[in-house]
Amino acid sequence: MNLDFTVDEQRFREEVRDWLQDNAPRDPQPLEGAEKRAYDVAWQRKQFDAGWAGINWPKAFGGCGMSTTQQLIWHEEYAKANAPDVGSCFVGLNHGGPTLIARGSEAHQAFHLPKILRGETIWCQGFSEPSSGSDLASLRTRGVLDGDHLVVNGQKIWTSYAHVADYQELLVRTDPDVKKHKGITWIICDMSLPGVEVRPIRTMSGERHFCEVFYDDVRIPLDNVVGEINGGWSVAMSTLSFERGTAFMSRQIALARKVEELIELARKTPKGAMGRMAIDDDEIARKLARLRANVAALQAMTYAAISRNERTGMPGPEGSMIKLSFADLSQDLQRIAAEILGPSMLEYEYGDTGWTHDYLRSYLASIGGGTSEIQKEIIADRVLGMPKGR
Amino acid sequence: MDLLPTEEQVQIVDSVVDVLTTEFPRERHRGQGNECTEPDKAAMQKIAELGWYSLGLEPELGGLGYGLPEEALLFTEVGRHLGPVPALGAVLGARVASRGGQEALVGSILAGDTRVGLAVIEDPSMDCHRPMQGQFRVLGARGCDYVVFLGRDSAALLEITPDMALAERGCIDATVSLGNLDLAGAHPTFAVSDNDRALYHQAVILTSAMLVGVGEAARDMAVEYAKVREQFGKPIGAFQAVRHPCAEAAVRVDAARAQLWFAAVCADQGRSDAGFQAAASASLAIDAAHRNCQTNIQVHGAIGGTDEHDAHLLLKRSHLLASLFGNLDMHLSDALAAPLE
Ligand SMILES: Cc1cc2nc3c(=O)[nH]c(=O)nc-3n(C[C@H](O)[C@H](O)[C@H](O)COP(=O)(O)OP(=O)(O)OC[C@H]3O[C@@H](n4cnc5c(N)ncnc54)[C@H](O)[C@@H]3O)c2cc1C
Repeated sequence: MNLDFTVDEQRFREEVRDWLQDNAPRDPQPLEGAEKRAYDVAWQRKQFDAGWAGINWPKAFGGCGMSTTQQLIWHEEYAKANAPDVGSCFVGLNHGGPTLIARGSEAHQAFHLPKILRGETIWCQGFSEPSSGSDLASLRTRGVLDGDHLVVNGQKIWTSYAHVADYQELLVRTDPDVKKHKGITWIICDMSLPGVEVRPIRTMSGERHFCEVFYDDVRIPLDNVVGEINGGWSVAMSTLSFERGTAFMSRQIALARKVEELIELARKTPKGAMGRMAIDDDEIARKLARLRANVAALQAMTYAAISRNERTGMPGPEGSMIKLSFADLSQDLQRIAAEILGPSMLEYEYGDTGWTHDYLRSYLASIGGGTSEIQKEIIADRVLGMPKGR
Repeated sequence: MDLLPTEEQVQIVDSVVDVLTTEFPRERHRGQGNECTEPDKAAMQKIAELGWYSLGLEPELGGLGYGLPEEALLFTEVGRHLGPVPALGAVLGARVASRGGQEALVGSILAGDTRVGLAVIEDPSMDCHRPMQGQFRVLGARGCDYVVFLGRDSAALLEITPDMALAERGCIDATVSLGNLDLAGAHPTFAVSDNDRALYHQAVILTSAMLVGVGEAARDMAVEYAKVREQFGKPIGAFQAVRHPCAEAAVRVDAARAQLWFAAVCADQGRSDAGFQAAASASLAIDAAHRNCQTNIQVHGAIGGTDEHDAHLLLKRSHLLASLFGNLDMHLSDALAAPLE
């Protein structure tokens, strides 16, 4: 047990720190739409040009091939530099790309991976449907074989960034007559194909973040299938485990930074009698202290997970635990913020950024990427081996 | 003793619900983005004609002669249906005006001709007789003629004149118009003392009533959805992770509602523990509304976190109401300090 980074790792940290300090964009990240896309891809391109694209991708596929420890260092420095959230590049870098690396053909890899790294294409994830959320495997969007094409009909929903995306990792039902996990195919859908229609949906904080996507006889070449026809579930699971693994690190480290910002807010926001600040309120002070401790523990959990991963080469089951704690703590943090803000929260308009926006947005943290209830089911099933109720 | 609403009170509720569902259905707010959906003067005049504002006022003053319990039942429905918040401005404004002996003004408010915005009171210890200093947020600011201020021990009405800066701002709860009123020592048009705190208790209780309505609406929405939404081949209401939070929501708001009724009767009868009961009612109502709204969003999954569903409107309304007269901390201090009977 130690917290010593090697000399090489320390040198790496300094290099990363210097570059991020000098290059991280300082202007605010737009909330939605074409502006957000433009901002995100410009930042991605800048990282690419300097050799920092695909930190978690193997070198053979154009990535940085960083060890998980190096990724940790990267994310820590990234948060310290207050660099922007990966935003609309998330799915390409953390789902689509890695799935192609794990399961795609050479042709898929050669065509798509460089574009993702260079920030030339945005990907989205078309998994959830109106009646298939937590029970993803019950999905019904149909894919019917027709010569060398799959003809897709149906609907997806909650597809983040679909309105600015070029490609989609799409799950379709290709065999309705077998067990639900068995008849699913994972296919790359070009969002500009005829028959694809996208309708953005506003979140409760006001931005058009996710979308409904409708498919009307969309003809997708069979060459776009990743893995086998009807073998899409295992392909999808390889991305999901990725999502619950290291892809989460950056947001979690950003949370620790946010806690410090919240403490700062409590220091400068008046509350109660004249001259007193929110931090002088015992209850708020204790809540902040507990939050700070819990977020530190989340970070420690991440360190433990990374160490295990470095030893065994396998991501452990901590992913779901970290995801669950992250959602809880983000919401705790935002609720304390709401308490500190008091009635000034009442002034809010769609398009505003800042604490009230983040407070409203935090309600989605326990829903997106698998709800907190489902994370608990996964922990009980897979980590604790408890009997299943479902 | 019978804490439950009488038949007559139930009839009042039914007629209020009827108006709300036909004239002010909750759906009219849905997916409106930043568009403020507060009813205009003409729509509010209909409410006035129906006697909502005069319900609890003495007949000598042009009122219908009911009391705080009836008003609490009315405002519970306003909360439940995301009805017009300025109705509270009118009720409290008329009450303050009548205390101040302003008969003409009372009549004009009751008729809906004069509109009263609600000042958000951050510090209930404010002395409303003194010139008003600083920034005040006003609910129902759009087109209001007066603003009502309600402290613990005094209340005031301030006429809004063209020289006053009442700047509209986007409100987190877009069903309500919010204004910022910058006052540099403006004298209230008139102020009254509230030595028995009857006005303040009325304000706190009617706000709690709306919160109880919000909390009940959130509970009902969650439960209804849990019964019909299926995942893994069964209604999600069959999963304990969904059932138990729904049951907790039900217990929370049931407690808040019973306490609301109790507090309304105590205040109506001028009991010595009215202050404690009102404070207890407010703290339970705030908590029940907030937490039930959270449960409701979570039970709905992603749809609950969108602008296209009503769940977020309830949550935002609960924030609006929770900071209208003081805040949770202050109600809790009162709940500890105020005497029991
Ligand atoms: C911000 C955000 C971004 C998203 N982005 C994407 C995206 O890019 N692509 C994509 O495909 N999807 C995306 N989603 C969708 C997300 O994956 C689903 O919302 C999530 O899986 C839950 O599904 P649902 O919303 O249909 O809720 P439901 O599954 O209907 O759940 C409703 C409630 O029931 C509970 N529940 C359901 N089953 C059980 C059970 N067995 N035991 C206990 N409780 C249960 C849930 O926890 C929840 O509280 C996104 C969602 C959000 C909020």
